[in-house]
Amino acid sequence: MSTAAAEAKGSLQLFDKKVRKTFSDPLVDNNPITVQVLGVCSALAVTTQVKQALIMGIAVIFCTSLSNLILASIRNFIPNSIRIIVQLAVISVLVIFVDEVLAAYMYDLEKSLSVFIGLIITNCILLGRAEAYAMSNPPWPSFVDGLGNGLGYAVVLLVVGAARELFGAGSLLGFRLIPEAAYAMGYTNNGLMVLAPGAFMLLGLIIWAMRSWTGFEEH
Amino acid sequence: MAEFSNGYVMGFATAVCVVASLALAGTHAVLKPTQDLNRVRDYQKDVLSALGLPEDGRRPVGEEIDRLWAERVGMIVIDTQTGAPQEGKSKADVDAAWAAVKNTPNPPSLLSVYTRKDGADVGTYAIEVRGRGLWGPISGFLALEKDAATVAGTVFFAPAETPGLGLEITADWFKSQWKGKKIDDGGKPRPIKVAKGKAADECRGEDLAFCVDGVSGATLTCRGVTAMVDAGVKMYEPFLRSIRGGTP
Repeated sequence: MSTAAAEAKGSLQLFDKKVRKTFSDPLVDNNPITVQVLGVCSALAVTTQVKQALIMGIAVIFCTSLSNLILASIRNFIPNSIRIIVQLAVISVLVIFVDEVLAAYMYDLEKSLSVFIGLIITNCILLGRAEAYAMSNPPWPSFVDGLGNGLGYAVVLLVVGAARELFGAGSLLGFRLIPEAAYAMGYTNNGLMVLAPGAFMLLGLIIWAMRSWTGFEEH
Repeated sequence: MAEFSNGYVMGFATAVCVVASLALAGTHAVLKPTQDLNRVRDYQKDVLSALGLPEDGRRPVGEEIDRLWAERVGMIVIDTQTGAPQEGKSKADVDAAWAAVKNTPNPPSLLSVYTRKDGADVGTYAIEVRGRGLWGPISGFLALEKDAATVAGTVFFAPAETPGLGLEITADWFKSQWKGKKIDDGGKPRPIKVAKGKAADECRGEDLAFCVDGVSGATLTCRGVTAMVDAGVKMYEPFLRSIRGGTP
């Protein structure tokens, strides 16, 4: 067999149908927030502004994919009796690493996000994926599963964040979108949007929309 | 999943702990100098902006902050009771004075004032205010023009307040509206009030000089700011009067 054919076979395995489905499933059909209803607490907390939602999304993608990768690589060596605490240890190391890096290179954001970054440790998505997927699958599909779930989380965060910043503060990513003229004519920012109840309602609407689109039914 | 002996489980747990600690200790050791520098520069940048530096309103970054701080910012330590400058005291003495009155309503015995050096002149005085927000301590600087009665700029620190709500007191729109407000009403100190909503809805005419817009959804944090600025202005009153009298 020629080297080219072997390479083609290798890449086929890397991105075969099953792996692609592992990645795309959590984006819509099995979205961690709208279907699994995991990670809702942080989805409400960090979505007052798009920038925060974006950084939080990236941080979660980084942590879930790498924690899945690491745990899947050592899954056969982890004693069953202490597996949860090992999962938590791996996740905590990654999360603290993210916090340290942010403090060094994105100091302004770290100041406002720090407490929520720390709470990624208790984000159900990470422990959920580690326990449900990484502990019983090889490293590469686990990594992809982590990527997909992190991305599914980040997308919902961005949507909620965009809606809340636009209607709550009249801007997106800090740029003012609703002109001063509108305010002069009596338009006011919706204060409910910056508060947690506003996020609850938005999230409820998004879950409703996504579930009626995908035809998901609770069993 | 195979069964493991107790010895293996203990060994595995220990190995995980050691690897995790080494990884984090290593990361922290490598990044700490950058983080500390960030922290110091962030603080200096905020004080600079309260003092109106750089003049064109840009946000200085990196070494420019160090340079502006070294060349344009001075600090004097004053006695709270008399307002007289104290020679030979440093920021450490002021911090010790604050620590001594922690959890009491009393003002510290020493206070610090940052000054903007315009050549040989002092362009702006920044007084330090400390107080409580909704979730934790808040602090800030109130920079005053040469008349010691008009606000030139402010900066607030609110590490524990909620992003998007209480933390908005550190945002530019909130800080910038203080410029031009007064802390002195015909020779009497008068606190600036953070309104519940728009200042224009609560204060009329002359009063607007003593009123700024509040943050919707953060009424308690805003009350904290009002109280903090009020207490700060009163603490510095002897010093401010000495400037107004012409003998700083």
